[in-house]
Amino acid sequence: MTATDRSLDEDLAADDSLLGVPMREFFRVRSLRGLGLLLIAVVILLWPDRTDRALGVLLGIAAVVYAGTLTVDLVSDRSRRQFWSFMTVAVVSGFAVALVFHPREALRSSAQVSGAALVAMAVYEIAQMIRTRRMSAWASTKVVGLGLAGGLLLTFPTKLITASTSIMAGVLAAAGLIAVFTPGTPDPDGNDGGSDFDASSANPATLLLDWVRRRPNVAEDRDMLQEKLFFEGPTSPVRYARFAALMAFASIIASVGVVVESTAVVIGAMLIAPLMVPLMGTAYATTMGWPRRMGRGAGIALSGMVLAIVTGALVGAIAPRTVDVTANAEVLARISPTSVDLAIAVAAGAAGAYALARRDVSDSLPGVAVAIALVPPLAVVGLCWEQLAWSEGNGALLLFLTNAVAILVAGGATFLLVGAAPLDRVSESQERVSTGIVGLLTFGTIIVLLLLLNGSNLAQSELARADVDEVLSEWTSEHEDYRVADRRGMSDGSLVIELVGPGEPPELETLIADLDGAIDGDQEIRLTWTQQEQVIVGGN
Amino acid sequence: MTDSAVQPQTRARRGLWLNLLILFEIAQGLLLGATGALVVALRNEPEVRVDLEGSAIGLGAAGLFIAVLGVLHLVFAVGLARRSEMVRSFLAAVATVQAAVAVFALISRQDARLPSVFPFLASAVILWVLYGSDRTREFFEQ
Repeated sequence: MTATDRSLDEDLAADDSLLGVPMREFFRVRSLRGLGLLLIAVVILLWPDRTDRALGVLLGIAAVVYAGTLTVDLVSDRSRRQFWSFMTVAVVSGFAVALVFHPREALRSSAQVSGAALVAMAVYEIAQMIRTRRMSAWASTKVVGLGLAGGLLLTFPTKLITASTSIMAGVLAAAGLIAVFTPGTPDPDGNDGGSDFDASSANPATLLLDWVRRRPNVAEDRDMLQEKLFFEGPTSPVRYARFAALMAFASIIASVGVVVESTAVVIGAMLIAPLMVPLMGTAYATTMGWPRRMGRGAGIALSGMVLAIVTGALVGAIAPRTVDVTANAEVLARISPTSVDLAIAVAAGAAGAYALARRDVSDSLPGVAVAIALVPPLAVVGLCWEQLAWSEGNGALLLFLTNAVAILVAGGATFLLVGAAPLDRVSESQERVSTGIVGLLTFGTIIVLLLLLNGSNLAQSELARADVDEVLSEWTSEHEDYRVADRRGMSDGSLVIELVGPGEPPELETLIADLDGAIDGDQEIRLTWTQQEQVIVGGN
Repeated sequence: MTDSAVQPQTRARRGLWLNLLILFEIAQGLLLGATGALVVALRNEPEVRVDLEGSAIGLGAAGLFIAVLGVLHLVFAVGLARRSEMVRSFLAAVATVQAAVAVFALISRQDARLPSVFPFLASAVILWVLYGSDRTREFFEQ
């Protein structure tokens, strides 16, 4: 303990605490570092699209310093003058200067270069598989993961930078919180979590892993959990039949609820639907490295999914009332998911896994089922596809996939955190777990990207509309005889504005120019005006 | 007394790639020298002044500069052939700067991506010849 720590201990009373942590612990170097990480994470999460520039410049400065030290090494030590040393200096210097002066372009290019490298690695893996004539599950998953990640990085570099910055911020926030709220706390057995672990010098990743290892095992009965999640043993045929029956009922109820636009009925279907169980089972099997159970869980979920879509389509075909996919509120609420839906699904998925792992909070499972609706989006998929409304149906399918991936990822992580899936078990079957996780993360990346694209398109059109409203508001305040009779967006993305006034609107050229400046280049505005006739009767 | 002490030491010969680099330097030096001399000689010709958009003094200075560059390339070629470590380091530094500029252009200027690939590859080849090849290392270490 340093002299500063001793004086802090004297100044702060031992019984002062915040959220169970003594106040003096917040002034340790490790806690302050954690607070710093937390602060950076908050800034990144609040302004992900603005912080990439600042991060780029910071990264550039760091790279300049690194290139400088490499150059000094090359100049001062002749033995270090090797081909790769010169190439490293050249690449790092060029990259550093580009990051400082053109951070966005440099980050985008780096993402594309990384994408190209990943694709090259995938091609190399394929060549290796052909050469050795050996194809393992891990190698195949790796090839698919590398290829997809590389392709996505090449195609959507900017979106992925924003997404990875946000993910990095999440990890930073977690590491920061752990550093702040578990400063040097010994585990319940009284030891410090392993004599070789030095908490003060550990990096955030080590800190996080150590924290997970120290977590007390709160999964009360692992056998009970497995019994809940996997359809095994002598009762399995009954459970399969029960699953199919409940899925069919839930699908019919959800489809009818959507057709009659009744939210209460749709919620009823959410409560009946048994689809969360096989998905949670898949998540648990993935973290434990059980490929057969993982496959079985995924198979059950997939069959439930097909059943719900087919039921939705059948109900749509035989329902006396036609579902208007462009106006039905229950459909509209499910065809355009964004990253907000993902955030909800992740929280609900984690809550679901927690409720399954702990007997005392299992009452909250119905709430989880409502928050992470699985069957209604599938029913909407069936209803839309039945009407050949492919785009709307695909949107609803994306919502379902978002929820499913959130259950798999957040559920798996929660099982690990609460001790239901012990970390040692995960380490033992590392390759099988890695295969599952890489596959899951690849799939998750695609979903996140699609959600971000959809979300940014929505945000852009909302911003454009707000700008149009501002232009119209300014114009009408200058010309009080005129008013905006209507302003609505059409299904083809165009905007219709109708003005009403005593004649042709004055300063029309200026108004058109201002509106043109407010909208996105591809968007179209149709401006119409109606001459308003006024007759004044009486008055004297 | 060991056997090696009595045997005459065989001097390592230049590798093919280093010879090519020396030839390249000589060719570049001669070409630049000739161009510089030509510009100096023709600096008073009205047609040349119009074509190159310069005055007689300006063209003379430019020609002289080009000729000096040419001479420098010849000096580098001789230095490389005579195992000069200083020339080797200087050429490596120039190639490194050229590669760094190419990387900068590759990353930050989308319109200059394709034209930047060649300078980058050329610099990489020069650096490999100077510091990557075993033959070159043996040659310079003697």
